[in-house]
Amino acid sequence: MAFGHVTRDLSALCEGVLEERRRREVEEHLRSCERCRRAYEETCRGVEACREISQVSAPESLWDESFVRTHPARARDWGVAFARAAVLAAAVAAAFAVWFVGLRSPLELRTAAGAPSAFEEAAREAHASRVTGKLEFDYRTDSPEALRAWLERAGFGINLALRRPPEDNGRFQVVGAKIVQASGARAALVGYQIDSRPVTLLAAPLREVANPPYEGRFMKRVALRADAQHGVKLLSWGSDGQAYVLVSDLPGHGTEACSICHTSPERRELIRNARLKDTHGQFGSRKPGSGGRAGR
Amino acid sequence: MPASVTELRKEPAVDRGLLEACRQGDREALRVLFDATKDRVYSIAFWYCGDAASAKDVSQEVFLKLCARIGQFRGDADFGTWLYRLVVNTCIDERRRRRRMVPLMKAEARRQITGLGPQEHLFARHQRSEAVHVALAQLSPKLRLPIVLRYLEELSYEEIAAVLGCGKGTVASRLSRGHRELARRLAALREALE
Repeated sequence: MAFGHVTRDLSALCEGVLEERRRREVEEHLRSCERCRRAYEETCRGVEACREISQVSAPESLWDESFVRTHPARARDWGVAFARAAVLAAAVAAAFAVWFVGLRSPLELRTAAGAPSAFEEAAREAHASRVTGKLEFDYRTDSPEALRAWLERAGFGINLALRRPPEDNGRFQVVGAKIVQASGARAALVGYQIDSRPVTLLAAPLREVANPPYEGRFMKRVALRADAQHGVKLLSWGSDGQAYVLVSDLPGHGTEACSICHTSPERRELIRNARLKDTHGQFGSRKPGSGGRAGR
Repeated sequence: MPASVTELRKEPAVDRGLLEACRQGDREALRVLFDATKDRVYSIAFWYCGDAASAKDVSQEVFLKLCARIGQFRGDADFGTWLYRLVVNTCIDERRRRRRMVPLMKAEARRQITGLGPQEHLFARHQRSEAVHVALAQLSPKLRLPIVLRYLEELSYEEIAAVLGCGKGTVASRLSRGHRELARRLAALREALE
């Protein structure tokens, strides 16, 4: 057997880890090859010397020194944190822009299409009952604070403005509220007056209302239904998960009824100047089943 | 199929949860991992590089890389193999870096690595293990690395092959050549003193 054929296995042989069959071959070769025998003895001396190789303890200062050297990594962490903060700031700015545009952009007001929904009918009938003196409120008060507190206790978070502007003095007055069933939903009926004219607001959770009004994403989209037969105007919309219908015989499009919640001069001007899109169209179509409100 | 290195997984402190915490950037977890591996990392660097200063530099570099790259480490991979490769590659990089040093530094580094001090006093001052240290430092890196991994970390031939990315036969061949070369170097050192 040639010299080179066994030198590769000499360390494994010295260490006793050579596979059995190969070990017998190598040992057989060593018996007949003096050169390999000398190499084997030399290898074993090397193996024996390697027993001196042992673990040494790392210096105590290694962590601190490694930590100091890892500061660039910390700097990168700061970089990532800064980038995240920048993205967050951009998101906040974008959200503000959307809010600002939504606030400043004209209110979308369209004429309602088709027959009134059951929710609108319920509001109109309640308003008619109120006008004819047949409706008794569960709670009567002329205090906006007390009315809002009562509604909250009843489970309705209606953003009834508590601080009324001076122009409302003698013109705006709350009357009372009643909890009713309307279009399959538990609803709050709120009565108030503007210039001694009765206004009725019906509110209920959107998800509970069958065939609910459209809920705009970035701006309020209000449908106007002028009911000539009963001499009233109905404004219906969806917002913040609630369905609303306002019924009144106020002049114009009856949008002044919105002043129950909106008190800032800018917002009121926006509402006052809202132009009616006389398209008789729907605001948008909902996909069946989306948000649990479609097609109801 | 390459073998995996299981030694570090036997270390109780290094478990999947610790590695996951390290990947999440938990500095306390990194400290635990550091404590569990520092002596191994430093020892490989020490026996490979031949001097404490280089071993410290390599160890620092390894932990710097570990902090930066632990997020890339896949949980299903073998951490031992991953870490040994990191150490080995850093040792090789350190050797290349030292070879590029200016001549004055190179001479100083060589003196430290090869122990070319007054050899008359070598065996008198040092014990046998230090003679082995000096002789090992004189081997080529190709022969030195398998010996360090074999005797320091007690890796099998298959595991060394997995770390170095070569075949088991190559490891056997390099170990045999390394052992013979080491024996010759030690004999030369003895002869120089006698």
